[in-house]
Amino acid sequence: MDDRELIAAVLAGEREAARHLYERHAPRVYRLIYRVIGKPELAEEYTQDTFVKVFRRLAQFRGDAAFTTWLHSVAMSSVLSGMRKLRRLRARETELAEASSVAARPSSGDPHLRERLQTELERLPVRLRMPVVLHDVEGLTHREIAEMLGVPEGTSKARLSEGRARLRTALAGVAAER
Amino acid sequence: MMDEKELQEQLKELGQRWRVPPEPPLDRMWGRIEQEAFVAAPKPVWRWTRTVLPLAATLVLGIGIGQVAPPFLRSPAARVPTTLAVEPEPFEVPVRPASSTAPFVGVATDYLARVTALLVTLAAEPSARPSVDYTTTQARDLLATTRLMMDAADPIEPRLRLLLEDLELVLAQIVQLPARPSAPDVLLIDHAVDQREVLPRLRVMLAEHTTSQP
Repeated sequence: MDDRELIAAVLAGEREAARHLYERHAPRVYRLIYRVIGKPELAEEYTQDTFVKVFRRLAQFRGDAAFTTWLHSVAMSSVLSGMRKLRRLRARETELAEASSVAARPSSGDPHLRERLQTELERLPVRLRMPVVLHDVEGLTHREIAEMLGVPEGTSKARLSEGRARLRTALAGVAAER
Repeated sequence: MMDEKELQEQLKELGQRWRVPPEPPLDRMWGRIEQEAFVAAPKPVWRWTRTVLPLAATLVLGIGIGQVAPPFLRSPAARVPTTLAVEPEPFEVPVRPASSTAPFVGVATDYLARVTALLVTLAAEPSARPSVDYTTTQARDLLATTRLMMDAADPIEPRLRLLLEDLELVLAQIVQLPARPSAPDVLLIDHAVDQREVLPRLRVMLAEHTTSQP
């Protein structure tokens, strides 16, 4: 059964179809969310939030777009919404964590480019990290990213460009030493 | 400095081993999803009449009292002159106390009014609707405002938060409208708005914010 048939079956009340639809798409959704936030317990929670929203609002799905496009946009919305809550709840802890991560930041002469790239990627703000991860790591197009994040394609391109520029600047010292 | 191409290659290579997700716990996750999406008792149906009708009744009553009240009980600004005066009667403009929440309330009221207008025009007859470009631009702008409001430092009232979450999804759907939307596209958005009773909730919230403005 393809997605459309499964969706029709879910809307007709077939719970088994919902499970099939979930099993087909959950690994990809989990992977995308994990890539963006990097914490398994949060990836699990936000994946659950995504599918709860999707099943509750399945009747609203506009059939002309791919189901995955809609699903992924709900997933990114869940991530952003979840991170907003988390930021409010843990504002103080975040400040402390950031302070310690700054203290632990390797010196500019660190020769391990890959490690530094990883560190700097994780230090990017979410709005810049998302396009970099989704485009350069996951291989999504700007159109797909724009649909997922609910922004124009130009914004996705601009954020990717800014994210890359920040990475290049941060890695300048490492590259010079090689 | 590293060039763009080299950075992209490094990022691509990093993707092979960076944040490689563990096996997703599908069965465990499904438990909560099934419980909340299918098994949990449905929320009590929100009856817009419960809130809108009392509001309307209060409004009608207020207008009625205003009509029959003796002139001296009315505020100076509300008095209707019966004759033309040569010298305009001076009246005092009431000085409103300054409030630190005034700008936010103003922004929220403006936002609620704009979302309401957008959804109402979307539900209008095709000939009365604005262009799709205009609609999606408005929706994109409002979507950004929705997210900013959800991101506000101060805690948001739970009802407003739920409304904003529903609006975020509805606006995201409008943003994705194709250049030439078919009737079902718009109907499905209408359906989404109806199903979540978005418009009645918006109007109530708008009425409350308008009356709470200093």
